[in-house]
Amino acid sequence: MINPNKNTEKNVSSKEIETTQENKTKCTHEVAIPEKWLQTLKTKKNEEEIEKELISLNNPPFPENPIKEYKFELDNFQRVSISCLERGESVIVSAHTSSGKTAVAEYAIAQALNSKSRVVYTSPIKALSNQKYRELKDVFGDVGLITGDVSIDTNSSCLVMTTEILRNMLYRGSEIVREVQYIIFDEIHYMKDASRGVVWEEAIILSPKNAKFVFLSATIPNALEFAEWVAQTHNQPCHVVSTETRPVPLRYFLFPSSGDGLYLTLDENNKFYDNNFQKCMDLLHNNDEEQTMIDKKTGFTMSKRRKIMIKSKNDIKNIITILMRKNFGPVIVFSFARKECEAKSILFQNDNFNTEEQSNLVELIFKNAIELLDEKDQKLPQIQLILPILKRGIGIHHSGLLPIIKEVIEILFQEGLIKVLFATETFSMGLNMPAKTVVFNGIRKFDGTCMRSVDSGEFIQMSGRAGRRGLDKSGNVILMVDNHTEPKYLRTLFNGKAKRLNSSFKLGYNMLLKLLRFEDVDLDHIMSRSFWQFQNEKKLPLLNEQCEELEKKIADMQIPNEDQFKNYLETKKQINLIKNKMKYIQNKPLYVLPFLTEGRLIKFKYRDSVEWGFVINFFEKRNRFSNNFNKNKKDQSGKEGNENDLLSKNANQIFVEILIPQKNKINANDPNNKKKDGNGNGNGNGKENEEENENDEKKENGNEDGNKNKSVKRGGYNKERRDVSIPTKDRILCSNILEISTIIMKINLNYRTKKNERRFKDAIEKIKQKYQEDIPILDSIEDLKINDQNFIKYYKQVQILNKILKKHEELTKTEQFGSQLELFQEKQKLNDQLKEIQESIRESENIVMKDQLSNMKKVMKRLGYVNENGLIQTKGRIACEISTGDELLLTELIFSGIFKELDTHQIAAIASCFVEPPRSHEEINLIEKLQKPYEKISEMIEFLGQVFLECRLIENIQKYKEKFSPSLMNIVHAWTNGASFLDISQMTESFEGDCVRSFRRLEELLKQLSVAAKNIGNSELERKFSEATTLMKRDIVFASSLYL
Amino acid sequence: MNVQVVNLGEVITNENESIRGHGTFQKDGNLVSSVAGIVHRVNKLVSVKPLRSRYHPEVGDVVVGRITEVLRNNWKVDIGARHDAFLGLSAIILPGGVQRRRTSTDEMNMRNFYKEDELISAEIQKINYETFKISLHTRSFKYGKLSDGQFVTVPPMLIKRSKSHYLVLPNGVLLILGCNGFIWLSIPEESELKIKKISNWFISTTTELQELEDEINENSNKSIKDKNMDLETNNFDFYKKKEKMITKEQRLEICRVRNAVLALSNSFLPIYPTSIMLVCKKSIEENINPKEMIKQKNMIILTSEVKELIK
Repeated sequence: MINPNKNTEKNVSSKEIETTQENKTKCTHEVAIPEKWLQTLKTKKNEEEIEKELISLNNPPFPENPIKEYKFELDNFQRVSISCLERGESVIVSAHTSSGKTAVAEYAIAQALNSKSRVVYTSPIKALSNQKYRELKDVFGDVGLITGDVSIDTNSSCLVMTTEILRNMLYRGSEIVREVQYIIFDEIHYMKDASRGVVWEEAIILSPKNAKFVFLSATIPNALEFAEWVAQTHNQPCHVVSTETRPVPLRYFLFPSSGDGLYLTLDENNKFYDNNFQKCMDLLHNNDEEQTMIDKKTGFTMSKRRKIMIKSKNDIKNIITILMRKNFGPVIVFSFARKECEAKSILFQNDNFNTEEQSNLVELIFKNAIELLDEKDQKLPQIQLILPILKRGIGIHHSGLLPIIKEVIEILFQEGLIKVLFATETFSMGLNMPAKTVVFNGIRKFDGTCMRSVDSGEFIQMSGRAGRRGLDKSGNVILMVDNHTEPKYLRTLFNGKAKRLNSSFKLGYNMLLKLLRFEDVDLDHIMSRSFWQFQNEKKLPLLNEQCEELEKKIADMQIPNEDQFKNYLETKKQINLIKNKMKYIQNKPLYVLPFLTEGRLIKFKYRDSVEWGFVINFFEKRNRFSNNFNKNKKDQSGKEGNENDLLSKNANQIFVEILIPQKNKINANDPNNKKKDGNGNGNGNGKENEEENENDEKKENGNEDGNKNKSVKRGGYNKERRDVSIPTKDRILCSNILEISTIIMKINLNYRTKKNERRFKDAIEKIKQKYQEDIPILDSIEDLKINDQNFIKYYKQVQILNKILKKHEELTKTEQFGSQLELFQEKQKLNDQLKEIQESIRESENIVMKDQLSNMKKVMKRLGYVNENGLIQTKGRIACEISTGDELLLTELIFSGIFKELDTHQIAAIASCFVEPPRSHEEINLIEKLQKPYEKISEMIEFLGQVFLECRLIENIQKYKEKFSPSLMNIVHAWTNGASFLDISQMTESFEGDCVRSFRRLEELLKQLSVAAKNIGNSELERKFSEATTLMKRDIVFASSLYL
Repeated sequence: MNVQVVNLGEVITNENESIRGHGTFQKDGNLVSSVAGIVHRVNKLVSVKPLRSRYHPEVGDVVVGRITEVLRNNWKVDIGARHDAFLGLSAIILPGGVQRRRTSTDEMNMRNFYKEDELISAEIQKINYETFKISLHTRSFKYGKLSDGQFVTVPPMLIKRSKSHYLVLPNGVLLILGCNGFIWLSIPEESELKIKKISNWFISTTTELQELEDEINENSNKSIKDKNMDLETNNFDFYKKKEKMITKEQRLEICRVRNAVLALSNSFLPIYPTSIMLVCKKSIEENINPKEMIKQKNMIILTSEVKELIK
């Protein structure tokens, strides 16, 4: 057996066993044993006993009389997990979705109930808790539920709750957690979630030392690392049972966009069909060429994408038809945008997948569920519109739906009454709701910050919905691919490993203050027990190695005249830096606009390159939402009035329209361009170009000038236009201007006529020839009349620096200059790397986030949350009560007396700023009653932002401000004043489901504020808050879950 | 520092902007005090802390209390607040630190842990502001039954909150400064603590004071740690009454500290380790026996240094 001493330095002993018994599924079992635990064991037992113990630890025997009997034959991984539980130890079960992890959890619950202790089951989302509650209630009976919304039977032995609730209980030292034998964490891989992951970590760290854990996780590669951490922090062995086997094997197909069939790429036995894959890829690229050909004929470069859109719409229809014909239903179609889900479902307006009997059943279930609602809520468009779709066997599932609708759809899907379900990623989590086939409609998703391709972890999780246990021999996963998809990426997707579980620990004031309330709680101690710290410490040896390597490398690099190089480059860098600053000032519309006359030759940054071009016009950047507004204004006041306005604007708000006499660079096949298009402006520009092209051509036909030569040169012209040069009209931001020349060319408004065309083509060349590439530039100070003090200062600085640069010029003249420069730059790069590594080593050696912690303490002291001895003060105690919103900001607001003058409705509206609003870009025009209060809280946000900035906790205030949005204020005000949900949903563009979620959070926050007000002893304020709570809580927003 | 002391019914301020907190009410646009005490201002919040009142509990406070009743699955504890506090059966640490099983046998055995009239130290776990139920818990091993010692009460207002309320003074006296004004004095379980005769204390400069305070912290931490260690190795029965031998000198030291506390309370001075030490030291210097410390004239002499310090 193992020698535990072998791993002493690691503190954790582990042993891997491959269990391949008669049972068909393969699984691995490992166990992390903390050194300290082993030592205590040694003091108590003799060697023989220890030996025995270790054998049993590594091969836990399956109980002879299991506490719980299962109706089905247990899989191997379930048997091993149960054996570990039987030893009364913690276990991590890492397996695919719907492989039956719940069976393990159920065993732990049965054990706890049997020994009259408690068990807590946590899940990441309220909705999941509701579902789990229903499921467990049916099995065990003695089950309660606590979520932010509801509490049922809170004295039960088994409690289902969200992780946040558990965390709060642990902070409070609730007696429930004191008696808990097992804490079951479902979907523990949620711990890597950037915003909420820390909750899991806190809960695990704070768990009582007697508690054992059951972690249920999707497949994670570093489960052992996690187990080691748990073992270390709680001084108990922690088992890892993991299996990669899917209960139902999967077959993967590719469906090339606008193709007509499925290509089997990976079958049940993990065989990769290379030729099919290649065929599919070839098809995609052939299509590509075809389309570009069409483009050339029509000349519409951008319309290609439009065509693909149309085609892909048909694609999904084709796929579904094929699948239905092949009897591959039910199908889940995953999209990554909620709007897309809805749009897709509309495509199937004429299809009906349900029999009449089934349709009637759907209606019955739906009507029954809806009856719970108020009559006027039943008339909500979302409810009205969805029924006919559902009746035809088509469903939609995404977070924008009203919770009740979502639940009805889940129930219908489980009953087999929905044959095609259009869902977002949220559906891939939680309850067992498999389908025979899963279709991926595209693989790009928006992850909160940017568009990216789905990673293999998510892919594994989502495709796990395919294959119904006991019903299907195999599940099908179909991936719709288009020509943007890289073959290499697809391959990694199929063979990909799940994502590692990494800590996303972060500090919060609420957390720190809650800990500070208690005696002898050491904050550093908590930090040092985090998974973050654990992972960092593990990385340390590797980092040290890297560090040494780099140091050696750097020492080996010998460069003559190194100092001189350094000086030379640094001066250059400085000059550039100052020049940029100067440019910033110079590009202020105030200075630059008067010179942007029609026909002015300017140099500017254009799509990653530098171009010369002629100015046509300039105008203010039109906001997407103030579009109409501006248009009207323009009509009324005319151009002149506008110009004055423009002068005061920022350079980023002014567009300059320019004519670029260069070869057209817009090329739809260029991937760079596409990225830009996605970012915003590019897209609009492109389209406009197109339309203009069209117009010009028409104009041209009627143009007398052109007519003469038309017949002769028509063909040649076309050729010339496509291949040689097309003057492109485009717009750039004012801030992208580099130089302004003294040259102004007369531009005929019909610049697209052939004559002008040629003039442009040559114009720049001629100018360049004339001035020998040295085009005269307007002087910033003399011509542009920039009288900014800073600018003049910079101007002088540059002159001085240029002199310094001259001194080093000899250096540049030597022969080896090029190669030496390269070497030097490389060395510089390595030095930077070294610094970075050294920094992370320093961080890992210390207690993690030490700097941040001390900065946060500074903030708390400064604002009076704790006194100079670190003792919690009144403000700190109030901040402890607030966990749903920004605790410091809300506490400051309470203590500043802002709420005093406001009525209940205003208070609710103000509080809504602190609840994460639904994603939307609507322009908010606050009603009069709310404007003043909003101004006040903006001041407070500014104030706090300043404090954070000074304590180096944030980098800029703007970013901090963006966290708070007034977008809900109006509708909350209307809602507390009794508006119906129908009115509310008409006031905003956001999804109904989002509104409901925000409202629920707001109600939670108001409750907390009410407690806070009570704590400071102000009964009026308390009354106001609790009144607001009552006003919030009504109708469909707080309709109870169907699972309860 | 500007301290505003107000009487009952006195107008504190007429600023319209201030928001009222505990101990105040609004009358004719003025903020009026409802108790006699000291005005506290936090930003716009104005509250008055009464000079003499029952204890106002806050989460995380260390308190000393007396069991008044044994109920079905909790104990009723008098902690000198407006309401009774409750210590749940599930909120205590069972012998050997084992996990509680929810059976009825342990409910029957509750008197084996704590019975009526016994003193305990505990921490405020939570306060339900709706029902005013105060819940206690004995979160770690340092809390629990108190025996073989002296019990003193002072107005809760006088207890200065500090990082730790569970202290071992340099003269070897264990001091539990309950935030509720209930104070427990005893001798710690462990003997290997740094104990210095009071006559050897040097408290004339701030650094020396600091040193002494550090010593207190060190001793206290060690004492708590030892206790935890004992429990982890399971050979410590928490609830069994232990006969402790307390020597005469130790008794005298305890009395000295007790009377120092009373002297401070008599002069309405803050009670915290430093002030207690100063009084004890003074008693040696002035050659005042512990039993004579609480004579009115002696009390004035003894607390003079503390008064200086506070000024």
